[in-house]
Amino acid sequence: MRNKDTRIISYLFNEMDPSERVEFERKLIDDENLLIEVESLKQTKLRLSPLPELHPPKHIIESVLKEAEEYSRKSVINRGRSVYYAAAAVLITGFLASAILLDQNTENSSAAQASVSAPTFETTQSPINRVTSVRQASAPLQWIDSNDVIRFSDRVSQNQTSDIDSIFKNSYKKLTPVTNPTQTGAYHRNLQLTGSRP
Amino acid sequence: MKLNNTDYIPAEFEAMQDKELVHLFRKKDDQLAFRELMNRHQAKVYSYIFSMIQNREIANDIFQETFTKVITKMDDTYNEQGKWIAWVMRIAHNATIDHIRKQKRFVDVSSSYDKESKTDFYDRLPDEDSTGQHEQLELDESTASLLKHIQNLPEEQRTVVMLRHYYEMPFKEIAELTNVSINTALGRMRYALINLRKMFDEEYEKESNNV
Repeated sequence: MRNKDTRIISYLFNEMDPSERVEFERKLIDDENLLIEVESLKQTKLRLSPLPELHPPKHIIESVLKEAEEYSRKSVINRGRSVYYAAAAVLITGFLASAILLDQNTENSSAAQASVSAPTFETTQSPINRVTSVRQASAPLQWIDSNDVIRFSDRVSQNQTSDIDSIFKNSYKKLTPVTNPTQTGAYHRNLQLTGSRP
Repeated sequence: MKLNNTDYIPAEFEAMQDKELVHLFRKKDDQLAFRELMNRHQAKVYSYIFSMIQNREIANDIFQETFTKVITKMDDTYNEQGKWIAWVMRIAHNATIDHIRKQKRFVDVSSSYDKESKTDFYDRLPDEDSTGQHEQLELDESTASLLKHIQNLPEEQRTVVMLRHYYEMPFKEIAELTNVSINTALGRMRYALINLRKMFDEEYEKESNNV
C-alpha cells in the first residue's frame, strides 16, 4: 500500500499532526484526483454515522452482574480462608518453637541441678575444665594457690564428708610431679599436673 | 440504555474514572463500581459484537462469555496500567473472531454435496435471511441495509470499521489489537470504505432500476 493511500485515511480520521495536515491539504489543492478520492471516501464514511448503539437484553446484564457478585463473594471467602490458614500456620510454628525452647530450658536446668548436687571432683578432667564446670554451677568456691594447686571450699552435709575425702585422696594419687629434664624453667618444675592414671 | 433496576448508582461513581472503579471492584469488591463500568461500556461492547456477528442469540452468548472472562481474569491478567475498556475490547474481539473462525471452519468441513438429496451444505442450511430479518426488525430500513453491507465486508476490514466506529479507537490501538502494523490497519480501513462505496453504488443502481 502506498503511503499516500494510508495518509488519506489518517487525514479523514483526524490522526495527522497539525503540520502533516497542513502539508496534506496543500497537496489536495495541487492534486485534483487526490481531492476527488478524499471527498468520495469522506461521503462513504459519513454514511456509517447512523450505525446505532445496541444494548444487550436486560436478563443478560442481570446475569453478568449476578456473576460479578458471586465471584466477589467467593473471592472474599477464599481470601478469608487464606488468612485463616496463614494465622493457623503462624500459631503452629509458634507452639512448636516454644515447645522446643521449653524442652531445651528443661535440659539446661536439670544439667545445672545435676552439676550442683553432684559436683565437680572428677579427677579425669583437666583442672581448667573442672574450674569452668564448677564456676557454671556457681558453687563450690575454688581458687589456685601460690603453688598452682586448685583449692575448693564448700559446705557439705555430714554424710557426704567421707565421700569427698575419698575423692580428694584419689585425686592426689593422680597428681604427678613434672620430671621432664628438657623443661628447665622454674615455672614448669614447680607445676603439678593432673594425670589420667587410675 | 442505562441500568434501570433497583440498584441506584451514586453520583460519585459516575464522576470516577474507569481505573478508579476497577480498583474499587478488585480491591473492595464494590458491586456498584462494577455496575457503573457496565453502565458505561455495555452498549459499545455489545454493538461491536453484534455488528460483527449480526445474530442476537450469538451476540448475547459472546457478550456474556466476554464479561465472564472479564470478571474472573481481572485479578490475573489486567494490570491497571492500560485502559480497562481496551482490555475488555481485546477479550470481546478475540471471542468474536474465535466464533467467526469456528463458523468458517464448520462451513468448510461440511460443504459437501449430498448425492441422495442432490443438495450441498448451503442448500440444507435453514434460511438465514428470515433470521436476519427477525433480528433487524427493531432497526429502520437504512440501518438494516447498512449493517448488511458491513456484514459483507471481509472480517478484518469489518473489525477495523467497527472498532473505529464504536470506540473511536486510534489506529495504533487497532493495529495492536489485531496484531498488524499501523499501515495495514489504515489500509484495511481504506479498502473497507472503497468496498462500502461500491456496495452503496450498486444498491443505488438497483433502486434506480426498480423505479
